[in-house]
Amino acid sequence: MSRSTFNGPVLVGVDDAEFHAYTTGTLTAGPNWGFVNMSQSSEIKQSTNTRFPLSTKAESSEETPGGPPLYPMVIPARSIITRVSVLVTTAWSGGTIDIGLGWETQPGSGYTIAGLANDLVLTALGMVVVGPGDTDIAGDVDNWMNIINENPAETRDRYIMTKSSTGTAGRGVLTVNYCQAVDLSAIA
Amino acid sequence: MAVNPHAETYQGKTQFSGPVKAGTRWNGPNADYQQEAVLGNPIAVKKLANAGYVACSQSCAVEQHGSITSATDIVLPAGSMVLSIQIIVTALFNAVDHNDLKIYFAKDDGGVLALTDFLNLGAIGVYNPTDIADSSATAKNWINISEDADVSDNTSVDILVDSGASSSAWAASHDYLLNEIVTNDSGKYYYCSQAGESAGSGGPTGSGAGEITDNAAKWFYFDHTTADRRNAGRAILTINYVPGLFTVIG
Repeated sequence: MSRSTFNGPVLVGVDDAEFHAYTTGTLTAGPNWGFVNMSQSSEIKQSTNTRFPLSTKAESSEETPGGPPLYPMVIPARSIITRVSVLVTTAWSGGTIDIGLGWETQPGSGYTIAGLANDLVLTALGMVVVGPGDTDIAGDVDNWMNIINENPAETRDRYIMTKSSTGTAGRGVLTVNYCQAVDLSAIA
Repeated sequence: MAVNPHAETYQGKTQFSGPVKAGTRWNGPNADYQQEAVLGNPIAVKKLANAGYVACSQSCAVEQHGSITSATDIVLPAGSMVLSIQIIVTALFNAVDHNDLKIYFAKDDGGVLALTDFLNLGAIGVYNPTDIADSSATAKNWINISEDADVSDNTSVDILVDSGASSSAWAASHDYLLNEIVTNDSGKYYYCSQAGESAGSGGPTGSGAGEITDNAAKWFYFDHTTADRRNAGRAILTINYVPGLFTVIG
């Protein structure tokens, strides 16, 4: 299948769309652009080690003691995350999983292990979508609104990381949907 | 799509063969970081590819049929990964046991593979089914719709929907759900007006206008020749997917 790649963000719409202004009804022209919803997916495994899910199948090992692997899932800076889900293909044997993000080369610092989801339960087959009860602190919500909010001074992209509380059996596909570089810093 | 419902509306469309990627860095001949070692040589996040894939959507109208039928307007490219499914129910479904809708795609031999189990669509509203897998095989169908040996790797797949049987013969001591339809008393039709377990024998009879009590369940007679309540369900089905993603994560 052929492929088209853009620097992004990709927006769709027109900049001179006509609409009627509220209260006056005056016909006005303005943009109706929207951000294209992006998606990255990776196979994940149940592991008590910190893992960096790969977004390609080119790599053989996800567990890299020295830092993130070559092609982890990386979300562009200032993106808004619209959905995080796990399609569970082999149920977790117990416990939960944290889904986080980081920005340093060494996993010893510069990351937040539950920055996107805390104690997510994956013990049943099927689709699990991160919801209100899965983000335990206000800071997690901030990460969703603007992915660099965890450490605004670090304006770099963020890689995705996972860590399970126990067990080894579970398998699934982690998907992060986002709008690239929307930059909600002014309002979020 | 065979019949694009938007073709006449959006004349100024831009169409790509896809999958469409976007990001400030992506894997390619100019990405020198591809050559770097991984273990013991951490790579700064600013050097890692951050390109993602554009998520696409296809929608179609779905009617309750009582059998498997093509979704008509939804054909997914080979290797696509299904991200989510949305069903906007505009008229409630009332299949037997509320096996209201099951979504499949077609195999090369005309058979089917499931994307969901039967869904209960017994109320008007928006459904985002997540209990989609009754087996690990069903879950894997979402990851790569062409993965099964009975589906060609390079051909698109037709999406199918199945709404279960529209009525059944009344059964004793059965838990009936609201709006289910049964036949009894020499082929007369009745719809359930109160969910509950039916009686040990008998069932609804007659063709009067009043509500018929049947143990915990209750029924109304209706004349199916003038006001057929069977196959009444209507919905808009949307499948969100990334075309060709399996070649990346497989």
